Amino acid sequence: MEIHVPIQPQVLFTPGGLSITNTLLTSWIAVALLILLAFIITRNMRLVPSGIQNVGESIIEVLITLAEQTGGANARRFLPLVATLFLYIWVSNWIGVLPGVGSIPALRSANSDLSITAAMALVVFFWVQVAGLRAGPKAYFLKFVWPVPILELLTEFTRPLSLALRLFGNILAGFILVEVMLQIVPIGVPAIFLAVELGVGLIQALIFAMLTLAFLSMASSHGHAEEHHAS
Amino acid sequence: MPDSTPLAAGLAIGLGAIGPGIGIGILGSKAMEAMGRNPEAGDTIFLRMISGMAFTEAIAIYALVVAFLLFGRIH
Repeated sequence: MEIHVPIQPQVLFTPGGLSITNTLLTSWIAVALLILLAFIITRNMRLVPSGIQNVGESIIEVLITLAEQTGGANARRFLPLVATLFLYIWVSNWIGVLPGVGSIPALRSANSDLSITAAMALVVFFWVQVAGLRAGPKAYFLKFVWPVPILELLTEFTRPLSLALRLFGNILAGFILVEVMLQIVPIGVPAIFLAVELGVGLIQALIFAMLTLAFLSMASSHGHAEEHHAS
Repeated sequence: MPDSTPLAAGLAIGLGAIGPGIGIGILGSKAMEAMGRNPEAGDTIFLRMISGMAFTEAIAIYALVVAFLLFGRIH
C-alpha cells in the first residue's frame, strides 16, 4: 500500500511566473464566501437588526466579548485584524471538510499549505511590531537590551513561527489522517475523522485569533501586568 | 548501512508526543478540579484551559512536522 504524503500543494497554473496552487484556489473560495456573506448581511442595514443582520451582529457580539475577556478592556481596537483572521481561518478550514476538497486535485484545504499559514503569521508579526512601537518607541527598543537581550529577540520570532506551524500541522495532519483512513477503511470510518476535522478547524481558528490578540495586547502594554499567557 | 529513516519518522512523533500528552492531561485535570470547586468561573477556566492546551499541543505538532518531513524522504 503506497501512502503518498503530499506536503507541498500542487501547482495548477503559472500565469506569468506566479504559481497558483490548489490551496490558493480554495482560499479564494473562502474569501469569496466571506465577502458574499458580508455583502448580504450589510445590505439594507437597519438600526434595529432583523434576519441575517441579526445573526451577523450576534457573531460580532460574541467576538467582542471574547476579545475583552482575553485581551483586556482596550482589546477592541485589535478586533478587525483578529476577527478577520478568525473568520477566514474558520471558513477555510470548514471548506476543507467538504466532499471533493482533498480528493479532487484542484482543491485542497487552504491551511494545509505552510505558505498560507506563514503568510498570516508574517502579517501578525508585522502588526505586533507596529503595536509595540506605537506604545512607546523607547520601551520597544529597550526591551531587546535590558533583562536578557537574546530572549526577547527569540520570542519575537518564535511566536509567529509557532502560529504558522501549529495551524499548518493541525490541518495537514487531519488531511493526511482522512486520506490514510480512506485507504484502510473506505466506508464509514473516514466520516468520523471528518467530524473531528470540523472541531479541530474551529478550535485552531479560535486559537490563532486568540493568540494574535494576546500577542498584540502584550506588545502594546509591555511593562504593565502580564496577561495570563506567558511565552 | 540500512535506511533508518522510517524508524526515525516513527520515533520522532512517538517520543515527541509523550511530553505534550502528559502536559495536556495535567492541564485538563487541573481545569476539571478548578471547575468543580468554582462552577461559576467555568467558562473563564475553560477558555484559559483551551489556550494553555494550544501551546502544549503545538510542541507535539512540531514533532509531527519533523515526522512528516522524514516520512517524505524515505527511499
